[in-house]
Amino acid sequence: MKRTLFSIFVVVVASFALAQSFIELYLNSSYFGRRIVVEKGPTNKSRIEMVYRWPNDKIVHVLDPVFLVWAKHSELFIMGQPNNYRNSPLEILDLEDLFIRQLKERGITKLEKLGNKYKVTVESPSGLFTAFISETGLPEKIIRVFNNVTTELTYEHVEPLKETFEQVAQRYGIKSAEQTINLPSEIKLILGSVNWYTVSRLNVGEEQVLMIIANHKSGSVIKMVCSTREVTVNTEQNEQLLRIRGENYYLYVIAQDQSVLEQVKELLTKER
Amino acid sequence: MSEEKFNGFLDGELDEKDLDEVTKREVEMYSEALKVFRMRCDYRPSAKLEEKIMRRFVRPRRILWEIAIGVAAAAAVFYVVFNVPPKRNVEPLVQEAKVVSELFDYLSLVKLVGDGF
Repeated sequence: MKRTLFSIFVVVVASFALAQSFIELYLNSSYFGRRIVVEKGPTNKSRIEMVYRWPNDKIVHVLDPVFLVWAKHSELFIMGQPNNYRNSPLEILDLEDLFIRQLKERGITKLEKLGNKYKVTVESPSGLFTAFISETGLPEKIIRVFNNVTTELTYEHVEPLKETFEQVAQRYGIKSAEQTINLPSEIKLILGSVNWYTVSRLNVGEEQVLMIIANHKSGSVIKMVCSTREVTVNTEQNEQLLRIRGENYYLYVIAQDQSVLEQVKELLTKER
Repeated sequence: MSEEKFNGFLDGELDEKDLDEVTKREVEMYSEALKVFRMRCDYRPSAKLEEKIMRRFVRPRRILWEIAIGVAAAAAVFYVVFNVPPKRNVEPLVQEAKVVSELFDYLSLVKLVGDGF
């Protein structure tokens, strides 16, 4: 009995150590890959990309549906096209970044060995993540299921990357000193507290305004109307309105939940 | 010649017989000169000569008129194009639309290339 328990203990410890080592390999790997992202849900979307990934940096060349390059370097996000890059005030996170964030925050929920690869499951408030990672620490597939939306990131081809960030960045003409996109700070802060958003343009009277509908992390819907002039925003009976006057814009935050509006107020006050 | 008698004869105050020979000759010369002067005044150049002379003046004048009319027409067109259409204060609207469009494009792109927050 003792021998059996000891054997089980050895197997568990060995598996854990192995898992740790392959996760470490994955987190510290540098690779180049060609990948496809497919999102299925109420709205479908897909992308074809080439990715250059280093432990802390990343360059993604989106080939379809738009020709665009974005990069993460020293906690700075850059996006645009060769010779026309601008700093992005918002973080740009792909499914892999979200998976790694949840992996670090929540840890592995379930680990399975499938031949020469590992199936890693991470349960989090941002969704259920499943990743297939090779023994050598290279990703093969990452899947997230969240609110009836399934997002699949499939690597068609992955190989270790020997080039440095600077070498690849030079090839794409990415420079460090770029202009930043003018995004009202309140929108940036509020979008940091949501899971997803949709954006549209509409006319209020003669004024063209920007409308953002987002899903707050509490599950409640939050709307934002941004305009360069003061406009009349009509709200439903159960909605609360917060009016913010920026330097050259007006922002109207509409929340269905009073507590969410209070959280938003607190967030904005804290950051000012 | 007696100037007094000469003028008196021409004014009809004296008769020819009252004039001395010298004054008579002067009166005849004066009459001849008047005839010649009247002839010159009555002279009309031929149509060919008149046309030749007039062409010399009219041609440059017509070119000047044509240039002046052209400049005036161009000025009128310029004025109509830039001043006559109703002036609408479109610049701020265009700028506002640009700000909204830029934000819309940016947020749409982040949403497109990113997979969430």
